[in-house]
Amino acid sequence: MRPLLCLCAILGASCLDRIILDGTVKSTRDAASAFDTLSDLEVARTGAASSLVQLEGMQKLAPDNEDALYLLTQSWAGFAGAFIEDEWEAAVDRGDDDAEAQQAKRARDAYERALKFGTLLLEQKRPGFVAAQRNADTMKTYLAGYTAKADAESLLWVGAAWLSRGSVASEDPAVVADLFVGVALLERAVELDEGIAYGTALAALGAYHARSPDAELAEAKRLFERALTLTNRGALTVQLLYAQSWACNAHDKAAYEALLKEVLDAGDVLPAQRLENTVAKKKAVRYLGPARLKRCGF
Amino acid sequence: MTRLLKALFVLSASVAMAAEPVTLKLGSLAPRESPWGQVLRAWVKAVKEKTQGAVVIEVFWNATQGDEAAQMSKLKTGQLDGAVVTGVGLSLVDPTVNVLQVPGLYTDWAQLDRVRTALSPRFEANFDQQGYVLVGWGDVGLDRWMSKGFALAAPSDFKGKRPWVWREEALLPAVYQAATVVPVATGVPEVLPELSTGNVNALSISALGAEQLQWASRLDHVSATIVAPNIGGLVLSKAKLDALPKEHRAIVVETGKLTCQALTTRIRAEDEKAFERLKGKMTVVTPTPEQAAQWKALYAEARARLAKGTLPAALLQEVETLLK
Repeated sequence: MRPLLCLCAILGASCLDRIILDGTVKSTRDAASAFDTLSDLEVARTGAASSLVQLEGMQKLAPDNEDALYLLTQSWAGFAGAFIEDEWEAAVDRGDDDAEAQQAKRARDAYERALKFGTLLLEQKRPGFVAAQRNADTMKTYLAGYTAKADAESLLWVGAAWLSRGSVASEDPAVVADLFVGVALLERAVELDEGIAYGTALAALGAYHARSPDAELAEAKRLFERALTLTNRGALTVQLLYAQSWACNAHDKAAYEALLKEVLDAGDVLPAQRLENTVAKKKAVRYLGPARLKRCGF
Repeated sequence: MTRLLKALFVLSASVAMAAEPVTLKLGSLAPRESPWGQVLRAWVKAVKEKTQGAVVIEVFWNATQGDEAAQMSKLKTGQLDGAVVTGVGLSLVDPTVNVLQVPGLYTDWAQLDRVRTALSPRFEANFDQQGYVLVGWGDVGLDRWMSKGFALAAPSDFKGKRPWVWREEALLPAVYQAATVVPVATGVPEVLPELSTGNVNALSISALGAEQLQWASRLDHVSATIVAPNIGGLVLSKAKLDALPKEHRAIVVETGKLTCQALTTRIRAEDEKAFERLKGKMTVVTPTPEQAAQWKALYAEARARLAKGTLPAALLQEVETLLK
């Protein structure tokens, strides 16, 4: 640090500002897990929106700061998944076409923003991400260059944003065509750190493989079961996605209801994932409602 | 007083009957939010508005009523009132519609349109005889050869390879027989894993289909020429339609026809865009004139095999004449 400060003394005050900024961003990333322990969705929503604006500003001042790029990728993806998609699903269920289109666009925009920062992050960590999006083999070759367990986090959130964009923009064939990129990112994240983010990568892959009745349902079930084992059934998002994707598309009503009931009946089973579990409980109530049951053909 | 109560009862019952909408239950493999779903949802809305809520179309998306065979079976038993299906579903009612998808006969949409326009009255009559209304056609895309690790430029390139055929597919087996290659026959869910392991390394599918099914990312060659058009259509139960008041029946059928036109326009455009995207990611295989002649001979041999039972020989001959 001292040589850096000396260099800054020569270069001027802006250098010092940058050191402070980098330190602030790093502290924000280190402390981010505290956010996951919140239980009040209103506080979380307001806080997340404020943090996004603040992080956007910081990233503008420090465009190559990897922590900022990572946080923006994760935060935009998380905000869209937890809050915007919630409004989108509610609009779908009440048959409000205008609101559905509006919320789907908001969600897509948020995931696009996550992917913008995620792409910058991966290109900075290892150039060639965009060029590798030709096919599954080229993507696999590119991702083989990530070998550290610590890389899994970045791959997870870019991959999660990639697949989530597909779910809110499935009317766009170009978006659906490129889902393989998100799948490859998540597969590599799992290879590097199987249980990363409380089974989030495994569950997201499970949801992908259960995307339709004629998709790879057996593989999806295997991934969900593995995620349940690794999380000791404490990360309720796993059960939620298991029901929403696999049980729904396998037309297994008993499993669908049992998984969602498990989510609703669970107490504060994993304080470190309290926020995600609160969101899962809210969604589980919706998924047991008549509109969602009908979507699954139940 | 009793008479008044009775009159009120009759009145309220008739009001209730008038207020109770007729629901047409439709099956579809398409997800609600897909391009197909978008067009169909516009139809659902139009029928509801134009009949002032008297007729409601309820679509069971994403194969929640089973695959196309199951949907057509439910249509037969009255559990469904209609289905939006591909050629597989249509051919369960009238196998002769497969003549619109015979490999090597068509080179573009215009040729399909010419033949389909000429033969549609016959297909519609066949559907009608079996208690269905073929409201309209909705295409799926132009099938092309795609492969992994090698160019499928000529039929001889099949040698030693593992092409895929859908178990329910009636036409491609004849092509593989003519090419003396044994295809890997599976259902749709097995294809992605088989492509990943290399157990399947060639198939015929539309660009849009390959992308939507996630198969495109596992393939690296696409042919510039087409194998066959991949068709679909909207089928409704005749009994259910006939039970509707005349003006409502007309609304359902007319808006249904417009929906099919919209589907055709949208999907053809999406398939073209998908092919453009694939051209940027895959090696495009354009057969030489010699290779094109070999394909032509192969398809002719396949047609001769199809004419021995899968399709009426006279119908095949008629289509060949129409295309001259």
